[in-house]
Amino acid sequence: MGSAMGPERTAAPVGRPRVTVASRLSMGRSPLTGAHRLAPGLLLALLCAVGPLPVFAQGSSSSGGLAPVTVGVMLPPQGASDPLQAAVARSLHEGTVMANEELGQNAELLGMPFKTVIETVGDTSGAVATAKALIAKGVVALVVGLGDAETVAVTGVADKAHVPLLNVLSERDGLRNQECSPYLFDIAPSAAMYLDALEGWFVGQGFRKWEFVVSNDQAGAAMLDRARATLTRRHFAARVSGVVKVAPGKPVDPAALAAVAKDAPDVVVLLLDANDQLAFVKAYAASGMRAMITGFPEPAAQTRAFYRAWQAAAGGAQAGYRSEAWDASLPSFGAVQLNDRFQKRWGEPMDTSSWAAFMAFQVLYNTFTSGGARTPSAVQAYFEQPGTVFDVWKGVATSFRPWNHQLRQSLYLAHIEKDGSVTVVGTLPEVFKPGTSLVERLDQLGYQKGESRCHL
Amino acid sequence: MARALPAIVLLVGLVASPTSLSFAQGSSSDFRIYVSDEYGASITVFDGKTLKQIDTIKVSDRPGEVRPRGMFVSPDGKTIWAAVSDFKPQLQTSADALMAIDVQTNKIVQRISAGVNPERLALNPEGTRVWASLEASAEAGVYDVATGKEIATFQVGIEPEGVRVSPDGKWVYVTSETSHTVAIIDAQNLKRVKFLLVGNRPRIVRFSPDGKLAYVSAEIGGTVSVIDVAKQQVVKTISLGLDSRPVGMAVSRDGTRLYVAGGGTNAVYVIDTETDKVIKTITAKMGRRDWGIALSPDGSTIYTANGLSDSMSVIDVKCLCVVNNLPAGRGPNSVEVGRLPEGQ
Repeated sequence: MGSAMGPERTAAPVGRPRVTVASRLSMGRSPLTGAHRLAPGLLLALLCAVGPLPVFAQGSSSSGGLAPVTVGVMLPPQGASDPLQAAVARSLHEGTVMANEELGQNAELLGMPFKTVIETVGDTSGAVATAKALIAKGVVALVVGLGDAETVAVTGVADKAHVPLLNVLSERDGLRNQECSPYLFDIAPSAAMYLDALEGWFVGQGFRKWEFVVSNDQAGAAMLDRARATLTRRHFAARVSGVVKVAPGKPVDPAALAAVAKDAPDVVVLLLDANDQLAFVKAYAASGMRAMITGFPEPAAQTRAFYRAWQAAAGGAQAGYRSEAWDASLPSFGAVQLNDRFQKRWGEPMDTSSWAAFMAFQVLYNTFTSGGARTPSAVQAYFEQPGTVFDVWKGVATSFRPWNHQLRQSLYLAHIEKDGSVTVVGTLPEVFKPGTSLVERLDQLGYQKGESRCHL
Repeated sequence: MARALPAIVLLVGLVASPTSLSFAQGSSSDFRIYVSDEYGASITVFDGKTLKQIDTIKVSDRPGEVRPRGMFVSPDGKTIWAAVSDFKPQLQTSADALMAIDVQTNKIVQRISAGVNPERLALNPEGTRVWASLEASAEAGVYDVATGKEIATFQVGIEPEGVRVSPDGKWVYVTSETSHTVAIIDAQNLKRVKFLLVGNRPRIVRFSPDGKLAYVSAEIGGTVSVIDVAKQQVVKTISLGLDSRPVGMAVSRDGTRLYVAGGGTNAVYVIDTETDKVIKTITAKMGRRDWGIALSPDGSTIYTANGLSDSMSVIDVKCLCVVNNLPAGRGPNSVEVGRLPEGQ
């Protein structure tokens, strides 16, 4: 093995000073902790300087590594005035950076490198222009952590250019239905998946009468439709006790609270944005109502900042249970190690947005290495290939649904303590259930085949 | 914590048989079974013949904080090694160590400080070097048994776990969970020579008795990759199914069967290595979350370490059925079988 590598660190014989020998391809002392981390550009330069790469994966020759492919990343700008939106933007950025540090360097080590161009985008027109510019630069995939409107717009660009797009933020159901594209792949769970999970948990615990407080806009109407449909079709013993529509961004109308009280529900679900949920739960608690209350887990409502604010606002109300796609307290399937690395890297817990950004790169790492994909069409083909599975730290092999490209995955029920700390108390669907099919289990959440209006 | 003995004591204690095969040729009545208890900070010891629990070796006074996971029995059976860490994977603490336990006294006789979060380990056939996967630093480390000194470390991929030395002592294979790789290290020249891509979340690696093949389980991929050791290539991938979760493995003495622990599936898969087919999936009476798996010296019995049922399942190889379940501490992780030293 002419290109074999010696140890990264060797010890000198006893009694002599220890000598440090750096490998020419070393990922550094610890790519995970940040110590001695090599910048990707520096590493590439080093690779070029030292000649051929080592023999790497199955069937590869030692004649040299591959040229890096480029991934375009589009994220919201950091530093938004709304602290919850700022937290989401920061999480997306942190997950992206950490994934590139870890997986980017690992791909280098295997001789199948990729590089990343990160752009921040503030609005829809900017998103379209940025997506076009990235595609013009030859990216093999886009990772998009933008809001609903921007994601829809960028999907149109990706569709036209035939470049795969990984959505890591928007839960908009339309993207898994009529707004879908053969090039759109959703890492972020859909709104329908969250609602299905919430109803599954609460009905299972005996909550039968459901009150929905919804924003009087299109997004609220869409979520209400899904929530109603799931209750009707899957949970025969449950029913909708009432629906209260509220204006987004406005102070809580006492009449809305009175309407909820009159309906005497078992559980109240706020299909509102994160800030409106905080305002409503505060008024709800002050009114003295004690029925269980929870809310739609949009990304901003899955941040630790939101949890602290939620519990502070909830007072004595029963408001401890929320749905999540990821939590920093997860104890199994490698989550401890991943969460711990993230905490050490950034000084804050990994939340759903940072998890999704990281997992987009885990999916791409698999695609570039195990799949050997180096072009947009090869990336898309690997995502769609029957038998392709991804490990997203949830304990099961996941894949994209063929009919709408939603990533199959479990969701979590979290109990938020009064101090904002979290304990995961449930997983749906169950990670393991003997006698059932894994894929069928995971497809219990969200739009099933035949139900989705996306037909890929 | 027992005080470390001088190196000379260990050198004497760890002089080993030429290969681990010599151990495997022992009779069925002169062995012990060791189960590492991840949440009990201990190792439960069973008499191989009577299956009576004869001891619990404490590796720490901090159960729930200090966790022994991977183990390896020295070829001469005199020492059981354990990879010990804590639940703070990113911090190197005093708990992170490779511990050698004298099986005659069941006392800890050596403690090697081994980087951050050592998870599994393996000795070379001579018993003179111990290799460990260092989970948090993405490294494998090799240490001199006689002196306890680190010889070298190698970057091997993110979250390394399984580690094994080939029966001829030439190669060390290290799996990495996040990278989906096996790193191959030339054990004699101390050079990393190759990476192989295997299934998603590779866990454990085992060599066939003749050293020609290596098997790598991939928990999320639901596969066992078969590596031709001479060619350093994956030559087959055995699919156990998406929901199979293969983790620990044991190879029969004649190499014709591979026993695979199903982890979260509470199953053991029995693979015929000539056809690469699963000939039996053992589930009845199995303990929960069987992670570690080992064979008795005569190959007639399989033992599994069951993390969620705090037990060890005992499986008869003839019927491929569970014949016993025994309490085995808190959170069993690995099970290893060691020869009882002469005179015991």
